[in-house]
Amino acid sequence: MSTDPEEFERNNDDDEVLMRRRKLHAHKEEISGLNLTAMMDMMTIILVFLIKRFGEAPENVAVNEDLQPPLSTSTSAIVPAVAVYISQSKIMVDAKPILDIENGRVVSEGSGSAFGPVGVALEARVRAIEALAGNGGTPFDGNVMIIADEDTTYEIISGVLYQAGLQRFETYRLIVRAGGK
Amino acid sequence: MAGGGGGETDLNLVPYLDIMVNLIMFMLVITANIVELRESPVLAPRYVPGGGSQPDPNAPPNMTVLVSSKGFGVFGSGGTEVPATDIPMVGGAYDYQKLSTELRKYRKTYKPSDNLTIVPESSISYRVVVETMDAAREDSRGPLFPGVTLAAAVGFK
Repeated sequence: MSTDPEEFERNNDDDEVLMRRRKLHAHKEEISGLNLTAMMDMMTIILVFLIKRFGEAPENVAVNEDLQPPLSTSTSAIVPAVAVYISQSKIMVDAKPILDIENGRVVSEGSGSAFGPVGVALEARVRAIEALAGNGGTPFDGNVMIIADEDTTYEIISGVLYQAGLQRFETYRLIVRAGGK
Repeated sequence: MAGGGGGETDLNLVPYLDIMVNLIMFMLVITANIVELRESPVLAPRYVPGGGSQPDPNAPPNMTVLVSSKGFGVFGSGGTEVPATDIPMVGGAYDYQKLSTELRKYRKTYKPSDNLTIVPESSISYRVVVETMDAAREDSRGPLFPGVTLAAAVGFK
């Protein structure tokens, strides 16, 4: 081993350079790969939140220009029931088109009641619910959901409600948009 | 690891992340089209046999709100005599605030039943019916008539 001070200092300098190079190399290795675990955690949380929010609504009604329920201050959560949709162009019972609406009036075919086909569709629905109830299903509770466009006239609403009343529906659950004044 | 060296390999998370991003995009698009909905329950009018009999003078009055193209008409029926009130439209709009105020006065003075009957004209829009129900159910001071019955003039086809 050399005892020369100059040589000792030169060796010491070489060591420092080597250490610095090692540190630099080690640092480069640290940032070479992106750690995706945190991002994956975040994505999972967002996804769970969205699924939970989506699942909370028992009846997800996609509103469009043809079917805009009115705004209301009501805070009652929706209870699923037989659904009657009254858009600007159609009346549907459980998503099955029953009657057409033109210029705010029901297009009636035949000489009977204009809203008669709604009553027939609701009667079939009641019979189906009662048949299911006889085999262990949920009993008929007399609830009907009315999902109507805000510009629908009361003439159409009352016609549908009258037919529902004839088929032993007693509670009308009017579906509204949250956020009224 | 290929060759069975037994070395540890990192799980490739990129495909999983792709699936997550696609799912989130799908959920966002779907939820954007879904509006937060609530329900406003109403009762059907009940048929009571023997409607021609005299009402019980001690029974609380039943309040009714008529909705016409000119405004609201509020009156009571039943045992107690209740004066009627007209609430005309203001500037072409229904005065829901005045309706709530008048119903609050009726509630305080005549102690009517909790049920209110709303009778709209056939040309009235569903929006007005729902807003009338909102004004009749509660005001800023609390509940007014929690039970609402929708009725209609007889004679529709």
